[in-house]
Amino acid sequence: MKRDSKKLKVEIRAIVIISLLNVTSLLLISMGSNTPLQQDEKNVLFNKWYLDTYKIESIAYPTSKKEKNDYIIFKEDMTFTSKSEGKEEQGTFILNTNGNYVLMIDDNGEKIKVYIISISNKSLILKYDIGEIRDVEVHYNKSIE
Amino acid sequence: MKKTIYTLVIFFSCANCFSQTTIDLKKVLFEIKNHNFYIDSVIDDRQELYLGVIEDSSNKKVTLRFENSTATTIKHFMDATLPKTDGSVPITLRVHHLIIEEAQTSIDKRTARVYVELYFYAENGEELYKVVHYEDQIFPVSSLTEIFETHEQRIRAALEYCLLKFIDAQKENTTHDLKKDGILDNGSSAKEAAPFETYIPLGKWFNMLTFKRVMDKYNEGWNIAYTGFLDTDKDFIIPFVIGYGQSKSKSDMVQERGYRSADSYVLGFGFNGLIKIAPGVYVDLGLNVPVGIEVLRDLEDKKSTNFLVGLSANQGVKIIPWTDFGIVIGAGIFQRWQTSKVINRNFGFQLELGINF
Repeated sequence: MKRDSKKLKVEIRAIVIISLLNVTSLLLISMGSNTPLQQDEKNVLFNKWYLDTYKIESIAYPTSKKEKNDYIIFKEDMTFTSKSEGKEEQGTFILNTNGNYVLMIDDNGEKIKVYIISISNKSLILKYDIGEIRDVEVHYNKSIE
Repeated sequence: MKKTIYTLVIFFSCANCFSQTTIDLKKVLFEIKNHNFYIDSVIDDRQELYLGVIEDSSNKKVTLRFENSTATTIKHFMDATLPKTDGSVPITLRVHHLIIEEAQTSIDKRTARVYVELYFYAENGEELYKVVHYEDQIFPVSSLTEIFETHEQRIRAALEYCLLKFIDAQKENTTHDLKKDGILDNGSSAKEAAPFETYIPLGKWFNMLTFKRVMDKYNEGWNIAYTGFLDTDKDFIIPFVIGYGQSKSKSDMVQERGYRSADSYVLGFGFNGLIKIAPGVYVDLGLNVPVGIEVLRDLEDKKSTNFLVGLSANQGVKIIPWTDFGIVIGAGIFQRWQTSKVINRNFGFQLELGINF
């Protein structure tokens, strides 16, 4: 009986910890995506960003060999150049400050919405609004590491 | 007595009403370089006072509206970004639609949306530009609090999007005589939209738990299933279905085949397609792969098992009278082929009863 009660307590504690972790990660996500981009952050975006890693629920996953040296360049004239798995693409983009996203439109007119989760002088974290990878954080760095 | 009735009437009328929540747009400055216009006035042409009926963080339905009028709120938002300067051109903005929606749109996702239809007019009343935009954002199904707290942000994002589209059109047309833009802009999807088609509401996700009684010449059985689908008027609806069923062969047929009893335990994988023919009435077409096990006992009571796999098709009608919560009634016929040692080809009919939630 005592063992059962101890087991129950451990289980309750685990549930509480898991719930707290979930709430914390939700808050972090909310903070990241709801804070509008400031002017200086917009200027920082206009740079060349190298793909660094992927993160799902704070767990990092390395990029594949094909993705080595992949990058994305956002230019001030609102055009972009990207290299994905070695393949280069170009197009234009709209920066939506209130929505914290970039709407990338490639040469074929195909649109991809990309949320800016966080941006600093050294790193850029994006989430692509595409079905299967919607929850994946894509981390970019300003230089190849 | 009269007082009691009066109190009850008041209580039930209030219980049926949605509570109201107001929002205001945060002041977020976003830079628009070299703009040569300002928003002189905003006219709200909408029929509704409210922005929409949504669920708050505690799952309660509430009506959402701006703290001030829609016209005042949008004017303040535009003024912060596009202040009146010397020589800038006055533009009148007419709001034809501004709708907030949120709904479960897949088994694990919820979509929050702002639909906006704006018209830009010159000082002389000439229509310069019109833009329609769906500002969609997809969340995990349980993120009601985050969805509720970000409706305001999506309205700002939608307004910014429309403004940027107008500015783009203005840049393309240097004569200031901006032509109508008949493109339906959807910032969140890659598809090219049809020219200025009418507003399509966000589809509602249905969850259903149903019990099916299945009868045919050789078997009697039942099936319980969970069905989830996104309601739409236009497309063929392909729901997610997972079910479990049992059937028992009628004894004389089993004995003819040299067995005392034959029970089958089957999991069904596949798709059931629904075609909406009227609100709440669907034609049900299905194709499933039943996989399971058949437990046989021969006349000497020796037990053996047989792997079951097959293909089954069904056609029927499903009626869902109440969209939020209620009963589901269905009837149909089916055809089945499977690797059974007793009956491998079959034809029968089924009656279905369940709930949607």
